[in-house]
Amino acid sequence: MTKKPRLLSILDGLSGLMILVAVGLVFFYAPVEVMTGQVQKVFYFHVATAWVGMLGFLVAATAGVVYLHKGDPTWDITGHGAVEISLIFFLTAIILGSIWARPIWNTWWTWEPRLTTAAIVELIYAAYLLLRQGVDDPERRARFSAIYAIFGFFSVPLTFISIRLLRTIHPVVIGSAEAASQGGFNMDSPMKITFFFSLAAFSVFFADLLWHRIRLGKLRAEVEILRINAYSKGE
Amino acid sequence: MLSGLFVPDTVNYMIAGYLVVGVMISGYIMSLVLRWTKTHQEYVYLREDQN
Repeated sequence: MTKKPRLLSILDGLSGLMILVAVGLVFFYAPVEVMTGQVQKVFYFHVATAWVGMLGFLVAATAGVVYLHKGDPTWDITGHGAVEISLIFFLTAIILGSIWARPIWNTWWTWEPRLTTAAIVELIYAAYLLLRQGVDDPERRARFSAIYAIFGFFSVPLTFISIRLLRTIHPVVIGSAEAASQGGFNMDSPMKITFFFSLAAFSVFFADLLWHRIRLGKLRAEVEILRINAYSKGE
Repeated sequence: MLSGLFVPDTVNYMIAGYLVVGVMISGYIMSLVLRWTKTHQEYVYLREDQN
């Protein structure tokens, strides 16, 4: 159980290498965007972290469906881990967006549709962790968490499509932008390569972190069983 | 023609952004390592205790 799988060590190396290459592409390969300057380079990791956030919420919803179907606690551990990691990445994306917005929109924050829905998603999944802490019985906790993760996921596509359906100042870099958007730009070839490589690097990194988090969850479950055994022996 | 083009100086914001990414990610990795170490120590202790 506690021995690290060889494949996980390979994934550690691969994800670390891919992130380093992504950083290299951002700083040394992608050109500086002339309208917004160096801060545009935040965009590559802003989208990548947001993507990983949404991916994790999808994994949590899927794990919830599988848990409700099979009742295997591994899926509860997977869903919990995915939400935990995604909360970190999604919060990073929100902060990066805020840093980008300061010189471009002249404000750190504005209640426009994308930012508002993103904040709501972050709060919904923060509440998921609070819900888990509030339920002691492991089976009930897993069942509630699974249902919450499934319904919570409905908020995620809403965030994604908000800038495509509603009037917003948030730029749409891929696809057609709203006329009111501010700070948008067209990607040339080096920008596209950097962008898609960053997405791939963060996806691999997410898989790596999730695997580690699942191992931690399983180890905790074993410790819990050992604790109960030790307690019943002592009685 | 392009030599006169004004590119805004937003390099500080870019540095701040990548610092945030570094702090958030390394912070999470540290928390994973610490939690694993602590849980593993408890696991080893309980296993020895039961044997």
